Amino acid sequence: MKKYQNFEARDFIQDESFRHWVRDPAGSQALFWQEYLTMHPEQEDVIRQARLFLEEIYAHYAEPVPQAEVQLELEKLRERVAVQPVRRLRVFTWVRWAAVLLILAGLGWWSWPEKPATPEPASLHWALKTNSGKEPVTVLLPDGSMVTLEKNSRLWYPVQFPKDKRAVQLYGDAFFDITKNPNHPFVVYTSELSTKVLGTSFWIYARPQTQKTVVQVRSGRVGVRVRTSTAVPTILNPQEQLTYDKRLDRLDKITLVKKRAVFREQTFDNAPVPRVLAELQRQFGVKINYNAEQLRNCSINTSFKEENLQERLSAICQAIGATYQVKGGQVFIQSDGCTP
Amino acid sequence: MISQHPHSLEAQHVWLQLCQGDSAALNQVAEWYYAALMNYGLKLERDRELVKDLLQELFLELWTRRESLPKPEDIKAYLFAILRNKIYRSYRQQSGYSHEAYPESLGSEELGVESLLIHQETQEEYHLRLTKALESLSPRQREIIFLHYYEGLSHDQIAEIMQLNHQSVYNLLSRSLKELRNAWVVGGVLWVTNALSFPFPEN
Repeated sequence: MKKYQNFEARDFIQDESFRHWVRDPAGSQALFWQEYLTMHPEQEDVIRQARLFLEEIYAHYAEPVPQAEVQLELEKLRERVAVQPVRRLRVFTWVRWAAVLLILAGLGWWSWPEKPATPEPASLHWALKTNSGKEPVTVLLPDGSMVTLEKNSRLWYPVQFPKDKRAVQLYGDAFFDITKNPNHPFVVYTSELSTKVLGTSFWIYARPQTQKTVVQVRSGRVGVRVRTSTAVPTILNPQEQLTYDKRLDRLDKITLVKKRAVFREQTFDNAPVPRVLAELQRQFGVKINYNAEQLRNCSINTSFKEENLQERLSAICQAIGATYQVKGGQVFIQSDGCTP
Repeated sequence: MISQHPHSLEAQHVWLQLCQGDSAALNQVAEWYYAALMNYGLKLERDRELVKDLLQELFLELWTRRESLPKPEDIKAYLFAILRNKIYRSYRQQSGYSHEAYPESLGSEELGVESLLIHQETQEEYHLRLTKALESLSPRQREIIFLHYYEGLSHDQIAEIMQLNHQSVYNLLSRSLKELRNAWVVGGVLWVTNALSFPFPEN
C-alpha cells in the first residue's frame, strides 16, 4: 500500500489496479481500494478526481454491443466454420488411431488425449438446438444419446458424429443420458469445463453469464477438467456434484444427499397406445411418428419412474410387439397393430 | 462494460487448441473478444455491418490458417491489430486513401458551444467539457486514449496494434493527455473546482 501514498491523480489513472477498480467497482480490486480509501482519507480528493476522469473516459467510449447481436454473429461464424471444406486427406489416420488404442490399452481411458493427434475434421456439420420455450426439450443425438435441454439453453452437436469422437458444446443447462461406448468417450464442452464420460447420465449447469458451472452425476462415472488447465481430471461418482467457480478458479466437490428426479412419473392404466405416445411426445418434446390407425387397438398398463425416453419407448414397443427407430432427432414407431 | 477477458495463460492454451483444429476453441476465442473487437471496430468505422463482416472474415481466416497461425504473446493485441489493418484496407479500397490517411469516423457529432456555457460545476458540465476536449483531439490521439484508458492496454500492446515503436506510443499518449488538458482549459468557461489543478503527466 505504501506505493500509493504519494500518488497524484495522474499517477492513479496510470495504475492498472486502480483502473480495474473504477471499471469494475464490484470486481476483484474492490476490497483493496475500499480499504485504502478508509485508511487514507487525505487522498480522497485526488482519488475522486482520478475516478471522475476515468469514469468519463469509459462513458465516452463505451458502446455496449448487445449480447444478442454477439451471439448471432458467433452462431453465424460457427455455421461458416462447419461448412469449411476439409483441406487434406488423412490417409494414415488409422495408423495413428491404432497407436492411440495401444497406448490406451496400457493407460486406461482417462489418459485419452484431450486433443487427438489428428485435428477434428473441419467438415463436421453442426446442428444447433435452441430451447427458448418454457418446458425442457429432448434432443436425440446420432449415437442414441439423449439430452434434456432446459429453457434458455443451446446445444451444438454434429449431425453425424465422426468415427473417432463424440463431442458437443453446451451453453446453458442440460441433463445428459449418454449411451455406452467404451471406445469413444463422450465429451461435453462448456465455456470453462470439459466433461468426459463413457456412458452415464449427468446434469450440467453452464449458463454463459454466470460465474459458476455445475456438474452433477446421476449414474456412472464422469471425468471433469477445467478446459484451460493441464491438471488431471476430477472423477465424479453418482450423487456427486462438482462446482467450478471461474472467478476463484476453484473446484468444489460435494456429495448430494437426496436423489433427484429426472423425468416426470407417468402411470398408464389400460391406456390406448396412441394417447401414451402423445403424452411421451409432449413430455419429452420429441416428435414421435406413428400410424394412429394401426395402433388403434393397442393398450397398455404400465408406470414409469426413472426411465428415460428410450427406456419408456422400449417398454411400450415390447408390450405391443412393435419396434422403434430414431432418425434425424425424431422417433418412428413400426407396428403391425394389435388384435382387438 | 466489464471486460470478460481470460487470463493470458488461459488464452494461450485455448489458442493452441485452436491451432490444433479444435473448433470449440475458435468459438471460445470469438466469445472472449468479439464484443471488445466490435467496440474498437466501431471507433474506427461507423458502418456497423461492415465491421461485423470484417470480424467474420477475421475469425474465418483464423480457422482456415489455423495450422500456420503465429503464437502471439498477447492474443487480444494481435486480434486488435488484425482488425485495424482490415478496416484500413477497406478504406483504401473504398476511396484510395493512402496508408497515412486516417478515417474521420472516429469522431462523433459536434457539440454546440452554448453547451459549455454552464455556470455550475456539475457532472454534466464536466462530461460535456471532456467530450468537447476529446473531440478536439486528432483521430489517432483519440484512438490511443481509447486503447490505453478504455481497453487498459499497455504501451507494448498499443505499439503492436498501432504499428508504432515504444517511444512513439509514449510520446503520442503524453501529447494526447496534454492536449486534452489544454483543450479543456481553453474550451472551458470557469474551472472552479479542484479539477483546475487536475494534473496530467508532462511530457
